[in-house]
Amino acid sequence: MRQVPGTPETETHEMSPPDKTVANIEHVGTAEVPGTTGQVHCLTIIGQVEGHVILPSQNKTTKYEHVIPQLVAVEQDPGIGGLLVVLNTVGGDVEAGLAIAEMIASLSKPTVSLVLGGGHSIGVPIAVSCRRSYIAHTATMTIHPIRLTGLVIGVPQTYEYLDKMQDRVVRFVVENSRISQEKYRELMFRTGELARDIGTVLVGRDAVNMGLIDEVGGVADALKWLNIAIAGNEDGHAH
Amino acid sequence: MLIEGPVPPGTPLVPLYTIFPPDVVWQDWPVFTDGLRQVAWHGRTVLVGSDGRVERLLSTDPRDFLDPRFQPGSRVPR
Repeated sequence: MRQVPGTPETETHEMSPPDKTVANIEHVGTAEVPGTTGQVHCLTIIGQVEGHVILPSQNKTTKYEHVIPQLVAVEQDPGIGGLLVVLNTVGGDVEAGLAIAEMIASLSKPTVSLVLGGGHSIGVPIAVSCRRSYIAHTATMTIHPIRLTGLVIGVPQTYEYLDKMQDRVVRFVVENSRISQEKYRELMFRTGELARDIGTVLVGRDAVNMGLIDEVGGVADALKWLNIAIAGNEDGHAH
Repeated sequence: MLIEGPVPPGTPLVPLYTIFPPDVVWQDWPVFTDGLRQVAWHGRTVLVGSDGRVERLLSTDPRDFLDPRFQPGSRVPR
C-alpha cells in the first residue's frame, strides 16, 4: 500500500521491524508484503457494500464512509495518477453503492475496474463506473431486481418508490457501459436462470458480450491499461 | 432474493441490492455498537470495537482515509 505523504508519525506507536513482520504474517500470511511503486491507488470493494445501517458482524463489509473520503483523496493527491478498483462483492446498500459509483465516474483521473470472483447486484454499477472495465474469466455478475426487506407498507407508493430506485441503477449502468436499457432490463427480469430469484448470471465473457464490461482480463491487463492512461495516452475507452 | 427465510423483527427498511438472502444478511440483528471505544491512534481518533480493531476513523482529512493504519479491521494495540 502507498505511504501517504504528510501523515504525522507518532514514534511511540510505530511498529518495530520484528513487530511488523509478525503483523504481516498475522494479517496476510507472509512476512514481506510487496509494496506498489508508482502512482496507482488500489481500492478493493469486498463483501457487502455497507451504507446507512451497520450490518451484523457475520457480513464482511466495505464501509462507504471510508471509501468516499478515499476517493476525494485520490482526486486531490498529486502523487496519485490513477485508480484501480478491484471488486469481489455480493452487493449491498443501493444508495451507498450508487454514491461510490458516481464518485468514481466523476474522477478526473484514469480509473479501471477488475471484477474477480463476483461483482453482483450493486457491484455492477461500481464495475461500470470506471473508464475501463475488466472481468476475470471465471468471475460472475448477477443482475436481478431490487427488493425491500423490513416492514413494507402495502400501498402503491411503495411500488413506485422501488421502481424509481431500480431506475436509478439501470440508468447509471446504461449510461456508463455499452449495454442498452432494453437488454439490461431483459437480463434483470429473465426467468429460469436462477433457482431462488429472477435475473441472470453473467460469467466472464458473457458480461463482455452483453456490453456490460469492456474486456476479459486480469490484473496485468488492468494495470497495463491504467499505466498507459496515466502516461497520457488515454485512448479506446468505452464511454 | 425471492424466497426468503424469516428476518429478525425490527429489521430496518433498507433497500439492500444483494444476492445474499435477507435472512442471512440480517441474522443477529440488531447490532449493538455500545462496545465501541474512542481511541487516539497516530494523532487521529478512531472508534475501536471490542475485538481491538478499527471500526471507523473520525477525520475530515481525506488523506487519512488512504492510510492503511486507519482502515477498518486494522488492529489497535491496547
